[in-house]
Amino acid sequence: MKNKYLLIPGENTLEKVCESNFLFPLKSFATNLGKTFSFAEIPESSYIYINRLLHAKDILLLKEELSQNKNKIKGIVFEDLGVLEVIKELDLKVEKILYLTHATCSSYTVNTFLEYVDTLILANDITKEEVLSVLAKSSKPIGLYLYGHLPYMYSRRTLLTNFSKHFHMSEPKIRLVKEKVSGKEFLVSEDEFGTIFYDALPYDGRDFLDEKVSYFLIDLHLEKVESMATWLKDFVNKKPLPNTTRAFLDKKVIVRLPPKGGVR
Amino acid sequence: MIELLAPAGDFEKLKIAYAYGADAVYVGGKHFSLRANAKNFSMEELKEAVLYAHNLGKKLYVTVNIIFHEDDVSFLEEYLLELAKIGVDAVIVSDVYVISLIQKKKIPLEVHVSTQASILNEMSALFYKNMGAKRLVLAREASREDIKKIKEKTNLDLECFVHGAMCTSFSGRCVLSNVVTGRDANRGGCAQVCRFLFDAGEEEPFSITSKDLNMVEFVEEMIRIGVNSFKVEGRMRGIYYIATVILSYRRIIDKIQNHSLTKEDQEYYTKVLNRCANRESTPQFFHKLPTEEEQYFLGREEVSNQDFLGLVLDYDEKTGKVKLEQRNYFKVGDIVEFFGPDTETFTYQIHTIENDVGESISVANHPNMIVYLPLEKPLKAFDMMRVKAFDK
Repeated sequence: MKNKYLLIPGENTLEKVCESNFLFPLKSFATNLGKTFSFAEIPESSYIYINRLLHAKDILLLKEELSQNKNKIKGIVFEDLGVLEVIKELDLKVEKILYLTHATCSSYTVNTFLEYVDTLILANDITKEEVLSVLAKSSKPIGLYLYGHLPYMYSRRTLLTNFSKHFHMSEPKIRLVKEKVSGKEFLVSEDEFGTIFYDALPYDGRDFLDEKVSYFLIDLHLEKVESMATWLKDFVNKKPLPNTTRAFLDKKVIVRLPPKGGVR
Repeated sequence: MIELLAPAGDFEKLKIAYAYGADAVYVGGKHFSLRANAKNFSMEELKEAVLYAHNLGKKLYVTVNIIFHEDDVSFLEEYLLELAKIGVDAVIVSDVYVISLIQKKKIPLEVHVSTQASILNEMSALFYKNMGAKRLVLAREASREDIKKIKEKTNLDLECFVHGAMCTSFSGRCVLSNVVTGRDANRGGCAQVCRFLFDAGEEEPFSITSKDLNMVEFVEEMIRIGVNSFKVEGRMRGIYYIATVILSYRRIIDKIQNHSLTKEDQEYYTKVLNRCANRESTPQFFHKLPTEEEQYFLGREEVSNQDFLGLVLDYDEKTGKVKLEQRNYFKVGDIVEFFGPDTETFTYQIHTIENDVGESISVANHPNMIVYLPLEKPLKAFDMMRVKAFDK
C-alpha cells in the first residue's frame, strides 16, 4: 500500500499536489486550523476535517450539511465520536478517519477503535518505541501525524479574548506565550469555538517516513509555505528543517503507576 | 433516581462522605486511576469499602480512567475481574479498550463513561451506549440543551459535575502537564499547568486559570431535564471540604425533592460553599459560555482555609462533654458553629477548654490535639466545629 498524505493547507497554499490529498477544515465544524472551507469551496471527493467537539446544536447542523453534500466527501477526519454515529445514521459512504488527539496511545485502544472506523491517526503523546509497537500490532493500517504544530490543549473557553478584556488590551487571535518556569513556548490560537495551545515549534516525524501507514497527516496551517508541492518534495527527501521538535518521541513521561505484578 | 456522588481519596474521607449524605462515592484503586497523587485504595481497602457502602445501602464506584499506553495493560483484566468479584457497583472508564474488554470478557461490571470522554452531544452519547455503557459522565462543557438532547436520545443515566475544580481544557484534551513537567496528565500525573503563569510579552502575565464550578442555582433544573447523578469533584480534598460540600448539596437536593427549596436557602448554601473552598466557585457552561468573569488572571489566587476547627470524636452524655480532635487554632471566647449530618447548624461560644488529662487550657493550638468542651446539646462522631462566619 502506498502511503498517502493528508495536508491541511495554510492561507496561501491551495494548489493541486500530486498524489496528495488536501484535508479541508470544514467551516463551522473545525476550530483553530486557519482557513476553513464551506462545501461550496471544496472540490468533489474531498477529505474534510472536523476537529471540534460538537454541541447538540452543531450535530443538527452537521447532519444537514453532510446529507446535502454526500458526493463531495471522500473521507472525514474527526475528533468527536458523535460524527461516527452521524455517518452511520446518514449511511454515508465515506472513509471514516478518527483523530482523537490524546486518546489513542496503545495498540489495545487503537484496535478497539478500528472496529468502528476505517483508520485513525495515532496520538502524538507517545515515544518512538511505542509508535512502532502500535504500528506493528494494529489490526488495520493506521495513520501518523507527520509534521505541524502539535495541539497540546483544547479549551472551549476564549482564553485570549478573556485575557485581553480583563486587561483592556488589543485582541490578537494568535499569541506566542512562554510558561514562566520551564521556558516552554506555545502558540495560543483562538476562534469563536475555543482556544488551542500549539507547540511553538513544528513537530518533525520523519523518523516514520518509511513505515507503512494509511495516511501521513501534515498540518501547515501555521506555516508560511508558498508552494506545497515544493515543500512536500523537500520534506519527503528529508531536507533539514530548522527549529523543529520531536515532542515525546524520545521522552517518556512520568507516571505514578505502581510497580507491576499484582492487583493487591 | 437522584444520586449525590462524592469523591474520596482515602477511607476516612469515604466514611465522612457517606455520613454527610452521599448516596454513592467514587474512589481510585492503586492502579489505573487519574488521581495518582491521592492516597487511593488497595484491593483489600476496596473490598472493605464496598462492604461499608453496601451495609449503608449505598454505592461505591471505582475509577479506571487513565488512557492506556502499551505497557500499562498487563494486569488490567485481572484487576477488573477482582473489582467485579468484590462487588463494586460500577467502574468509571475513559479508554474504550476497558469498555471493550469488560464487554468481550463478560466481566460483570457496570460501565460509567468518564468525563474524560468529553461527551457533549447525543450522537457521541449513542456511541458509548452502543458500546454497553450504562451511565455517562458528561463533559463539564455540556449546556442545558446538550444534556436535554442526550437524555432524549439515549435515556441513559446521566452524571454531571456540580461542584469543584475545573480543567481549563475539555477534560482529557490536554497534555500541557506532559510537555511542561514531564508528568502524564492522562495517566494520573497532571501538574495543573493551567494554574501556572505564562509570559505573553505584555506587562501582565497570561493566565488561563478557571474558577471552580458551583451549580447550586441550577440543581433543580438539572433534575428536571434528566440528570441522575450530581457529582462533586475532589478526591484530593480534605474531610472538611467534603463534609461541607456534600452536606450542602444533600440539603439542597432534599429540599428540592420535598418542594421546600427557597432562594434564601440557595444564597445561604452558596455562601457556605464559597467559604469552605480555597477558590471562588461559579456556574460555568450550563447556561452560557464562560467569560473573563469565570477565570483568574494573576495566578493561583487561592486562600488557605482555616475554618475547620475540630472533628467530633465522641460525646459523653453523662459528663455533657464533647471530645474533639483539633484541626485549626481556637481559643476560649471564640464564637464557633457545630454542624453535622444529623445536627442542624448551631452557634456556640467557647467558655472553657479541657485537654486530654482534664486540665483547663485557654487555647487549642496543636494539630490533632484532643480537647473536651462542655456542651448541653448531644453531638455525634463525624460532626464538625468551624469558624462562625455568618448567620443564616
